[in-house]
Amino acid sequence: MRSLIILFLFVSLSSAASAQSLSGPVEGFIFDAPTKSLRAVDGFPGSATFGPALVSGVEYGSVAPHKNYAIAFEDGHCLFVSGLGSGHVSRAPLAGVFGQPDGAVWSSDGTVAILYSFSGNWIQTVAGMPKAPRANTYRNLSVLGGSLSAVAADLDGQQIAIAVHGPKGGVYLTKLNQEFIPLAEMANPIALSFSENGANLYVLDGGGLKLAVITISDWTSQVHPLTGLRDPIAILAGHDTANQPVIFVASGTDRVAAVYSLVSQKIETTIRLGFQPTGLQNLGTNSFALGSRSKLGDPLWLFSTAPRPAVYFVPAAAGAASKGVE
Amino acid sequence: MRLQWFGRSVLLGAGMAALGLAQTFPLQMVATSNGIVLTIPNGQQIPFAASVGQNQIIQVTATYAGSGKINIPAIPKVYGSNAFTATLAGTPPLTLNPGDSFTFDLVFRPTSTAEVTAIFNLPFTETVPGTGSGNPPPVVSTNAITLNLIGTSPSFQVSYIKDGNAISLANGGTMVFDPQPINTTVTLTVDILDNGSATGQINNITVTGKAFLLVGRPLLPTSVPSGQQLPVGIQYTPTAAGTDTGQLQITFGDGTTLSVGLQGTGTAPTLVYTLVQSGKSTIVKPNGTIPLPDTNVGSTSSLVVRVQNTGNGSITIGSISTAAPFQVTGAPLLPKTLNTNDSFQFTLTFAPTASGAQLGQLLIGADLFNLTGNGLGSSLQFSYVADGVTQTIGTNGVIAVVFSPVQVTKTASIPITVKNTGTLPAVVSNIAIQGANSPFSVSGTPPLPKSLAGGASFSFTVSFAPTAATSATDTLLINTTPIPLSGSGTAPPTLPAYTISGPSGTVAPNSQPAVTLTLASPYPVAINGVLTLTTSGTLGSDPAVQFTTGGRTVPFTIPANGTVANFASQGNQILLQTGTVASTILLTPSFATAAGVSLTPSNPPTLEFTVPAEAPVLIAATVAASTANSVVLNFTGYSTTRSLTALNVQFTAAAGFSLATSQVTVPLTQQATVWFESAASQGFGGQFTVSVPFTFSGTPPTGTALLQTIASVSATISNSVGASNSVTSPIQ
Repeated sequence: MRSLIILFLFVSLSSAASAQSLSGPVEGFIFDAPTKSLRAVDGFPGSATFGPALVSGVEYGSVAPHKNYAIAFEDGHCLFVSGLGSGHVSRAPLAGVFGQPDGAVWSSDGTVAILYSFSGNWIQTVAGMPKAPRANTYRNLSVLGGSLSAVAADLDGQQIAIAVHGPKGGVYLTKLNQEFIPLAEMANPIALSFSENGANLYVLDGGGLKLAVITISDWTSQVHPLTGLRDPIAILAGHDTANQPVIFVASGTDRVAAVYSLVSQKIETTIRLGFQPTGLQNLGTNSFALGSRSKLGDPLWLFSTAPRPAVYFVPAAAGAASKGVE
Repeated sequence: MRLQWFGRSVLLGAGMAALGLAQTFPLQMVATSNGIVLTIPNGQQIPFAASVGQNQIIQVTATYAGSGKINIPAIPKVYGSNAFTATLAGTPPLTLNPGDSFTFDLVFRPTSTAEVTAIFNLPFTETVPGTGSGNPPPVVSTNAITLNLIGTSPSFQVSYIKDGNAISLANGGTMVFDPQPINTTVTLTVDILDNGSATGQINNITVTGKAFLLVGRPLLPTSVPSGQQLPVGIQYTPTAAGTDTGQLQITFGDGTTLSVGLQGTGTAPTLVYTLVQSGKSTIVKPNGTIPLPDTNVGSTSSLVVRVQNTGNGSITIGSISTAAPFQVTGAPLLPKTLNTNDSFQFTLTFAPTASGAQLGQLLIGADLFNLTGNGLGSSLQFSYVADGVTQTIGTNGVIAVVFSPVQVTKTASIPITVKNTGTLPAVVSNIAIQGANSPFSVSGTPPLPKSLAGGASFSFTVSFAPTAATSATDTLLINTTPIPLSGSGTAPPTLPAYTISGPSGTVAPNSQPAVTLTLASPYPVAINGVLTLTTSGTLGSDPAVQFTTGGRTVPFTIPANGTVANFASQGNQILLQTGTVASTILLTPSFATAAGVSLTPSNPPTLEFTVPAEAPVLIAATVAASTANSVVLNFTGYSTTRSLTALNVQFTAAAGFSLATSQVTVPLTQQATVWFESAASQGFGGQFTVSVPFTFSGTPPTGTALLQTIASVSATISNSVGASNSVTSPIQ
């Protein structure tokens, strides 16, 4: 038995220079399509509001999860935007990007972004963020014989999973600039998500409305039915308040946000939505964007996992799109 | 003593009167002529007047006024002029006893118009018994009737003046007037001159013939002294072309008569109008009708009108005129004089601009002609019925379709009839209301384009649904014909009661409740409304207090005949954020029709609820940064009082370790005041993140970082109201 170590906890309580500070909570930063801007989501879900546009005139943007930098496209040019919320936003051209993507996924640590295009059937990684962002070689996925349907990255972006649908559909794994390794045959894989530790890859199988769990180390897999969901469209691996691994699931036409417990292998929480969710996108420490805004009057719907699973709206942001950095 | 006898003033012999004083003439004489009886003395000058060849007889009756006897031995004698003769009644010798009479005639028969004189002498003796004593012997004296005879004779000469020349008129002659335009008058003067030696008498003057008239006729009979003349006028007024005759008759005092024929010629032009069309000629008379051929609207047809003077008088045409749709071209320069047989022509054109019968008039000088033509084409007529009366647009002052006042939310409809009153088919291609967002609308129109035969019609409906309590106008277009529309709206029905359902009383901060709005009963028209959110309180306004749609106003609609409000087309409920600042939140609705007529009651019911001032709430505790022996912890939460007093932190040692000091209270009053009074905090309401660095000191086991000895941290935070819930975060 280790002896008890008595520690003296010392806290600087100097009245001359208080170390504690107060500020307003910022849930995260997000690309707002209707206003074509990068904005902060100020406050926490339930009392959050859109902040003013930090960068305007952005045709597409993607913010690194829980970070203050992003990849953006302006007039067809790719930019690396940093310093969001700092009062000093900077933009730097990011050369070598193939084109404006349909979307982007990030590694959990925010150092790698995978740009992808469903229509163009390609992916391209941007690594080295935030200090030295660089675009890697663009990769055309037509060689795989299917159409890209999902992309996921692990903790540090070293492993990238893609899903293609079609007669030769399936899930593939690649490491940076390496060959695509087929992990599973699947005609209609809809969504992908690495577990928080990167050991597993979760696949949403649209063919059977099932959740496939692929162990990366040995490529074994298990399939779990998503009973009760009729139209799952997105998944995101996370943990609950008990720090247990869960899969957050968004189901489209049945307007449901669900929490699937990997421990109990069943849906533990179902939240009925008054809107149709469009995806799951990291925003805050305990929140995801559940429904993106398509027009100015739309709110941003958030799925908050703490203190308990709940869905909140962020009121619609005001103002039309404009050019420039605010 | 002067007598008037036979027009002559006669001075009865004053000399004879003087003589009479000296000797009394034994015969008393009385002259009689033409019923006039006059006592004449011996030696009297007796005037005679008679026309040449005519007799004037004066019978003298002498009566013996003496006391003896008169003996007339022989017939009388007349000395001087053969124009006088005398005849004695009886055969001399004649003896007259006292009181006896005898007569003799004096006859004047002039043979010339000159004045003549003669003496009448009739000797006689008178035996008068002597007077005195002694049987005186009778006294015998000789004497004679002596009369001075003067004879004159009137003579008339009749003439007339024409062209300044005197033209004699003899009995049986003719007085000729120059050709005279009909209906005009000329007067010639007739002079009746007495060129004789005696005053003549005119008993009568007459004129016959309907074209002739005697003017200046004096009172008749009248005398014309010798050398004087009597003028009268003969007026000629022909009323028709052609010869006029009459007669002038003058009856003189001597019974003679002068008869003169009167002759004149009325002159008049006669215009003959001939229509020439397609080689065919037709005569038309004034006041007649000139038909023009059927002509398509927009086209023309024409004919030639020839004007010829076939009369015996000239005429001047001053003007030729007509009016649309008829026109005159090619007319000569006017005024134009047409003598007999002269002519001119012009073209008469028909250019209809509308279909149907067209009427007009052509005026040539004073001659009027009726023009007719038929425009071939279509003509659309528009009408509607109001209060049972058909109103035809464009007639009787009807220029618009007028609706009676209509209450906002209601609709009135009027059927409109389109009729082709023309002769050719009409095509209706467009029926529309001109204005955008008009309260007027059309319905029931046939499929367009629609061909409408002549005489055919169709109907459709124009509706008026006023959107405001004011007058409204617009234009109905049928093809391109604008028909004004007019109507007025009256105030809409009162809005029914309504209920705003949502949070009430005290509501939890940081919540997102739903609100609905429902009418107690349906409203007949769609309602546009706005729900407005206001906050009040002493701690400022939390910008997080908004509707889902952003901002503090959200539009809603309630469909016609519905009761449930639809918010921003997103459903029948709207979510709002209550924020994190103690305040009173008030929801106030406003209502209006689609056109903006306000329906909001004067004191609209509202929904009010309160976010209370309460103890803070912690949302999360997170490790913001850490080193081997330090950690920065973030505590996120909200305080509706916008104040904090202290943060109480409790560290929990990892298994196998214990902490000498595990609880720390961090005073926050001052920093919280600075934060919540700062401009930066205004955008966060009562939200905060307290960031506190903690540094640990101690001696952990080798290979163990100091921070690894701490498992987790829990914290509460407090304000003036109380302490918050506890949040926990693992340190590792």
